[in-house]
Amino acid sequence: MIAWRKGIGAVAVVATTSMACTGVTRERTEEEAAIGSTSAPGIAIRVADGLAALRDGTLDRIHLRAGAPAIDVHVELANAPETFHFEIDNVLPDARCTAIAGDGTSLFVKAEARGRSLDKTCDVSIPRELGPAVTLDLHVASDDDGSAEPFTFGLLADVQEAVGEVDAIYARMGEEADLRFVLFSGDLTRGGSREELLEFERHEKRLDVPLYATLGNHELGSDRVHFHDLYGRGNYSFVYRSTRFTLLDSASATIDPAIYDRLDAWLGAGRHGVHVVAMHVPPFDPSGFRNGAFASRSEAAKLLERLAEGRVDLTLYGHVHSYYAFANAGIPAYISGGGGAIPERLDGIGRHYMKFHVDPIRGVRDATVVRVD
Amino acid sequence: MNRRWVVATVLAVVSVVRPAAADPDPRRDRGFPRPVAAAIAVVPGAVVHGLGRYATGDTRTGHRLLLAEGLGVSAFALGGAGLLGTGASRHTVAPFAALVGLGLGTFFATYLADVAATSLPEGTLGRAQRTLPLLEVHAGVRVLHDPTASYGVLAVQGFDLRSGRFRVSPEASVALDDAHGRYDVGAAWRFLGPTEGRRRSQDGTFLDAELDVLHVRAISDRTVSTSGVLSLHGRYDLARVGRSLAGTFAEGALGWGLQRVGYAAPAAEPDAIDVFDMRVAFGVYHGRRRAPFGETKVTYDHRRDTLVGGMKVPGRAAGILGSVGLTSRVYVTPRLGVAAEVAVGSAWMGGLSILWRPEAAP
Repeated sequence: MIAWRKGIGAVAVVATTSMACTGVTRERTEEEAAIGSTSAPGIAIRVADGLAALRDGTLDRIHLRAGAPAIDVHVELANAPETFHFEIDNVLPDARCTAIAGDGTSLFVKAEARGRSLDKTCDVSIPRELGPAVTLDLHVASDDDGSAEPFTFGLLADVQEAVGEVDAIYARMGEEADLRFVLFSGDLTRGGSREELLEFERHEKRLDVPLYATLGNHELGSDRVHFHDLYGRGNYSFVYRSTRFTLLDSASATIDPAIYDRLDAWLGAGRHGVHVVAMHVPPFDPSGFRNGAFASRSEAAKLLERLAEGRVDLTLYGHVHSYYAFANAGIPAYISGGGGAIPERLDGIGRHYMKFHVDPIRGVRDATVVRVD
Repeated sequence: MNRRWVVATVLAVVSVVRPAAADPDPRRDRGFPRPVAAAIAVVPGAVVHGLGRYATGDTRTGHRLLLAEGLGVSAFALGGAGLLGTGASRHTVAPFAALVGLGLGTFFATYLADVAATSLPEGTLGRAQRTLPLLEVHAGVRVLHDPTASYGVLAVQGFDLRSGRFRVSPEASVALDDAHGRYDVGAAWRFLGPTEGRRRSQDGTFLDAELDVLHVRAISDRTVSTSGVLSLHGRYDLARVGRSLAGTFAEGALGWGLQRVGYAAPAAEPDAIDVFDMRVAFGVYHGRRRAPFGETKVTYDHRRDTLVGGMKVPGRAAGILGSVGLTSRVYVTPRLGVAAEVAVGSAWMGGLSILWRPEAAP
């Protein structure tokens, strides 16, 4: 009798809660740690801070997609060729490649564009005198990378099934004379398959500035997280013109616990300058009824306290297919999900993107919505 | 065409909720043997609710469960279509989400009621307590597994104090392994149903207006939160749908509130966020007037500011769902009882409490 009662209750609860995994982010966070590093007999490659996705390679060539305006690639070769070819996509159009050997010798680099100016080949000549085993470090950055001059960047999210129409948005962005790069805060695709991501990237090639993305919940609809293979990490941080940008993976409506330590380090590093934090799912939805936000408001509050304590200047989100300007924990916040996915109705806005003008000394000076429709 | 649909819907609702005064005696099953009827209720009955009733010969109750399932599916479809069509607009999300939740609640309640009534041995299901005591006290412990929390064990203490139709229910949960406390004060006015006093209600059906104020001090996280929520909360004894469902009940709650979150960081400003209270539950009664008696229910709670928060579902549906919980309260003597609870959202929680009431039920 007691067993029947327990059984009915247990079946009902277990059937439902088998869906709920408090550790939904653990596997992909562990997987992400390996992004940017690889080794095979005769070669080992490491991208500093994992700021590039290694697409493919051989003993004398690697193909990467840059995830930041400046990247550093360390290569160890057991039997160095005459020339090592770096094919790097998604760099700033005025980025330059410099290389040094492990003993400090500067190496000659021949750089040229492959098609568009954002995709470069940097051919590094390796003198025979260095011997068969060679270590080389490639640095890719624009000359203004370390400056403190004001600049403008764009924000876009939530393209999903509207990838066929995104060219209109990119064309409009192309009319902006001063955009340096675009942050993409998630939901590049509808289901996260490799084919969808490659199609997104094909259209992205129409942009004339690089695009740095984190993943959204729609990138989790496939058998594995193909975003990691093609675009790189979902949690990373970089500095451009003295301004820190941190992108976080909140695609599962949470941040993996293992990321909080890294976040604390990034917040510490960005405390005394301008710091922009972007993620897909916002901690709080301005529409509390809808709650297109973190699954736990306790965790949301905890994260925002950390960001406020770290003196973050700006928080950027996607996920909600509309435009919201608000504040969370007193930090200016924007939701801009105007990439074309099923839009929120009755909100007075269609497809759009945002642009932000940043003065690394004085802060974020201006935030503008650019309507495409 | 529209008028016909309205009339049909009204007739369907009336036929479901009308008390089952003229039902045939549910104690005499006709039709398939109970194990077969139970299997029918569980498997094909998952799609066509009420098949277990049909299988035992109680066709009238089977009809009503099937109609109620249809109403639930219709509400879910209407709400879902509304959410999709409006893109979950901030202006319309609440009523459409309520339709989805209540529709799903009706769907599961009709299924579980049929399964419970068909599967449980005769005499297992009990009856509601038709009057309530002046005071009920509970004290116990909750164990939490939350990857993002710094506490894992909470001591819980609270009571329900009633006077006629009025109830006040304060509860404190204090972490034993970290600086974290949750202080909840609820007050309710009962429009109908069991109350404190000599008057006995017909059954366990009730309708309450509830005001709940929850204050959370997460010292380690350096945040403080206060939520105030006003809700309508009701329970419907399913014996009113069919006498063979006696001992089962369905619940629902809808409400609105506001949550204020404060931060310790200098220059941080507090946030104010709407709270949407939507709960649906299905339960069964144990025992009758004398001990042991109690009830067990499974609940879906859509709120995100609870101890366990909402579910972290793998894949694209992240952040959509609330939490699911199972609670069971049994008085083993007229004054002393035990309560057990399990809940899953962003965290897993298990709890055990001692129940005490200073007087036996009148």
